[in-house]
Amino acid sequence: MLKSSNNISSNKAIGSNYGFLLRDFFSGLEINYFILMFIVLTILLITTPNYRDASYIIKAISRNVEYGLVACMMTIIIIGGMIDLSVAGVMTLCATITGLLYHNAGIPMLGAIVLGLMGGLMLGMINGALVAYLKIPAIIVTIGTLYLYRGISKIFIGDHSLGHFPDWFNRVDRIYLIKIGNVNIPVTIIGLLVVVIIIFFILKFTSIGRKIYAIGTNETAAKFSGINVKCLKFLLFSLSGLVAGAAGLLWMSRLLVVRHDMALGGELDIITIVVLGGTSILGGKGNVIGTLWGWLIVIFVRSGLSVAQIPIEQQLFVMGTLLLLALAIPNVISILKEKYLNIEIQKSLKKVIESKNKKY
Amino acid sequence: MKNRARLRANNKFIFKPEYVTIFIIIFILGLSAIYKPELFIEAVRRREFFQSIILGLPLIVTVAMGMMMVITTGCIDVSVGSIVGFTGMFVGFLFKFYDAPFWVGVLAAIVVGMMAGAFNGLFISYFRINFLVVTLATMNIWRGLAFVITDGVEIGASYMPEQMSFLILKGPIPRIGIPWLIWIALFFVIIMVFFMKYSHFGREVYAVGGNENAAKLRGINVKKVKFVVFALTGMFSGIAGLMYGARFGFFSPGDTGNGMELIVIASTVIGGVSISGGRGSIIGVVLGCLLLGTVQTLIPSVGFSSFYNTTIYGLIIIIALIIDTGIKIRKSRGVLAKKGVVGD
Repeated sequence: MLKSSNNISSNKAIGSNYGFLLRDFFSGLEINYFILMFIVLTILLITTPNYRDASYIIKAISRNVEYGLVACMMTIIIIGGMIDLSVAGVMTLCATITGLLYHNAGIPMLGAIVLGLMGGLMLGMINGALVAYLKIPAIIVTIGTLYLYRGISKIFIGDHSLGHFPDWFNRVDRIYLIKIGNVNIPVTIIGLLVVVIIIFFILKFTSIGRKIYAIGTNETAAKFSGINVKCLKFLLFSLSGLVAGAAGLLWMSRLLVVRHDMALGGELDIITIVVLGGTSILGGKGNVIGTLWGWLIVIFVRSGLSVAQIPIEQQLFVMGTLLLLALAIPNVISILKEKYLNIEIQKSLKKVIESKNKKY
Repeated sequence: MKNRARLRANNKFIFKPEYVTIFIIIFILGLSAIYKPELFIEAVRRREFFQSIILGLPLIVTVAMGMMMVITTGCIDVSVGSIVGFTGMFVGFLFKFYDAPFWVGVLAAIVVGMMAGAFNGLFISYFRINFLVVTLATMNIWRGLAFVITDGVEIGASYMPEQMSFLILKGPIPRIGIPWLIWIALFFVIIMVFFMKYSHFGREVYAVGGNENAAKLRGINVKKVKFVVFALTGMFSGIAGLMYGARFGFFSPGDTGNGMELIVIASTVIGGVSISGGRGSIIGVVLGCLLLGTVQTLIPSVGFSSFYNTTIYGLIIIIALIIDTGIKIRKSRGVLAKKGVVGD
């Protein structure tokens, strides 16, 4: 009797019955990451005097709006239990298509933008069709399409860069709407905040949002409860393509040029942002508000390292370590907790058995 | 009944994904011959054409041996390119600043590569983090460290011991003239064929990839298997890092092994290794590498710019994936048909 109870308690599947305790412990996950962001900012402000400038911080934030936008969409996809690594490729190819249509085909900028966004939607649909209808794992599909899309834009523009876009298109991030004190806040940041709030409400209160959580938690169960999993997956990947395309256009507007190595390695940054916001990479858990904190952490670390004059290649090391630590620390805590819980369960089972033995 | 058995045996030979690769290579060669006959004939006539195909192989094949194991267990390791870069830079650093002899370099490459791979394995199997995120993070960690080691300075051939140039120039049998690098890669391939087919651990790798829960219930230590597989992949990447220095005559923090993960994943997937795990063979992977090597050499010699490389690799991965799912669907249908004709 005792032996079998040992076996049961060491089994993970039974341990997950007590998962609600862990969930209670981690329910304030976003708040944890908010505190982490606050700590990072405080350390930066104390150690580097050059960083104590509100307008510089706002500028640093406005430089990362594109990644924030894509990260919001990525949060939804990761909550749904998938991953889209091709976003950086889609960003590049959309900007390339728009630039080429404007320069070589003579289409006016507005038309080129619309066509570029349609292109982004199409690229996302290719991903979605491969993942949802052919049932190939999203990871490998999007690794393939990442290189495919970036490669196509490499073929299109080669080593050149496309520039000279109309004035109204350039420098969207220099349009200021609100002024707080001496600091002008660009329209892009406000737009991102609006997007975050909309996605927050979609995920929390609409049926589609709850369906996404259901798919991420258990796909088979979601299918049996009547959710059209394939259609929803296809929709999510197409939307991801569209959002990545819009981010690519924002990037193009901010830097005034398109190159084939635009947003190179951006997928790592975006996944770091999402994971640092407390979204579980296995799906079913997470929140877009957390992504906002993760985004700010990444920005502060990056710009802080730049202010400290650490070269961009060596910053890769810091970003990778940050991502690993952000994942490892909660996992180690939960593994330790599980072990501790198992010991507790064993103890209580022993007590029950002993009391029964006494009775007979 | 007999007919059916013979048919199935025939199917087994023709539809083994490994052998399809040979036909694809011939198809691609034929296609380029039709596209630009003059350029193609001119390229094939020259001896350098086949030489550069074969000399490009050992690096990819060595890393692909590890990647094949990783994908067979159902994971993916995208950090191999960076491990190649990091170990390459580390070995070059030893050569330049400590005048290390050749064997120290070899030892360092094996040990450092293995440590880097074990680092991945530690986080994946013991800290239960998703393999993709771990390897994506370590990809950047090792690349960043490669820049840290020498502050971004390249290490040239003049600092390397002279045995490094022997690896590319000379072979064990002088008359044939096949350089050492290829013999080393061939050695790994032969060892791995027997290792995966006949060793206890090799079968465990297949079992874990086929059905992880079943393997666990069967008493296989899944965590240990994954840890060892990632460590071995790191070791192979480390050796490839040393081979990079011999092949190209320099170590550079940015270029060494850059984008290698794509080529290796592409060659593994096209070699018939199932991306969901549990299926694949070493011979298929070698043929996949051969296909990519041929494409890599063919593209510039038929008159395309090298900008097409990335696109074609991405396209190859996706086509191979579609074929892979096609085979899977075929197989599941076959199973259903078998169930239907039990009385036969």
